[in-house]
Amino acid sequence: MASDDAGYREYVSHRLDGLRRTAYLLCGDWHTADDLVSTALVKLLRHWRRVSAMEHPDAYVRRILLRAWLDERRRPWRREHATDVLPDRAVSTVDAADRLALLALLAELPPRRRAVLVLRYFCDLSVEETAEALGCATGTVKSQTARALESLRARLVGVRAIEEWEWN
Amino acid sequence: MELRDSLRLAASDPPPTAIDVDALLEGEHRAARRRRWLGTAGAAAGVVTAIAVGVALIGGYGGSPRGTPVGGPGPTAIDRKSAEPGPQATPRIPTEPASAAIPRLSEAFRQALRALSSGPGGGQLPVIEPDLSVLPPQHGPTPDPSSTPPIETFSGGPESGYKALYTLTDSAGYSSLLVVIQAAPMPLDTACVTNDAMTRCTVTTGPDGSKIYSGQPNNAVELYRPDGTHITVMESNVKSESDGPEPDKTPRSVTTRPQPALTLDQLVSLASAPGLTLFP
Repeated sequence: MASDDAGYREYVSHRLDGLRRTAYLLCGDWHTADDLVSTALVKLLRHWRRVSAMEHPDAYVRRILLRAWLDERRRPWRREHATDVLPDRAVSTVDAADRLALLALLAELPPRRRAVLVLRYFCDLSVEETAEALGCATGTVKSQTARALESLRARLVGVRAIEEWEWN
Repeated sequence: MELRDSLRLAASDPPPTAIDVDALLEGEHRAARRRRWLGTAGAAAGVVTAIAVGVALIGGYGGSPRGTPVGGPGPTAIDRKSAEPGPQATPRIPTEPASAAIPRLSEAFRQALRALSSGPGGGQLPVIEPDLSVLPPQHGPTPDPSSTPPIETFSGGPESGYKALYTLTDSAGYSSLLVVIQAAPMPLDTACVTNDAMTRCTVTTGPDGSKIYSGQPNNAVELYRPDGTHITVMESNVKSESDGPEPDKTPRSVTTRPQPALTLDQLVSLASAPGLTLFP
């Protein structure tokens, strides 16, 4: 048990940052991203013995994260809420306009198309790996990618030259 | 800039995480112990039940000659209830056509609203009206308001489920009331999930065996009926503006009233309205 815990801790400490960023790009909110990652980590812990013996545990964890996010999206009452408490973080010095613009564009995409973009262009997965993570055919990944990029390009007309962006 | 770089830029500079791996490990170990204990207790209960059933069967065969009809009362309400299917793995598909379900559900919810306004605290209720902007066009001429048939506030179908949207207005502002009725099995996991949007969450069981999840601060109730109907009633005081203010027109959310107009108890009574079922 103790060695299991140590292995789990080590795995999580190396992957936590990447998982949080992936979740953030999927949901567009750091608090929700932490919730999604927590959900995924609890599920990972329950199956840690089996997962730690896998050749590609990262793929398994990504699948859990994706499912957690898609489940979250299906709950209409958890999508949006009002708050009167603002986060006490300072405004980032990174180009906030660019960040918001991209997140807003991603938010307009259907969930699976957004997931395809994040998996392919942020997690650097191949078409086959993306198909496995989403549980669909490689052809679906290709068509979803093309449509997602097309949507982004259509929305970005007049905002930014998208010609430089990749298409495959 | 390439999409890859844009995504990296968008996810750069994350805030400190609230995830505590030690707490997560400790909580899961505690849950595992609880599951093991419940498993042992369940097995023990199963053995006791098996023994009791065995004794009853032996007693029954011993006390009544074979072939002789055993008289006595018919099935009681408790018997019938226990004969109903328990938690299901897959949702039942409603067989009632939308043309019948929509007026029935609309009328059931109207009655629930009437009951709410005549109940305790009903005098302070805001004006509750159907949000006509989301409804499909109502057919037929409506020249005389007194003879106008009631508006069918629900839309949808047996497979997708039915939804209705109402607007609640009073001097504090307005909010939206969303009602969604879908087929869904009762969840086996009774845990109430809290997150950023749902910081307080409670689970209760209704008198008919319904499982009721109610949460704040975004005033929402989810009710699972034993018959396989899942009802969500949510009040939202947020309006999304897809086209935000100049100059960047970034989408934003606008708060339309400071506090919800209905209490959680009122939302629970609406969700519990007896006619709100997909399996009448």
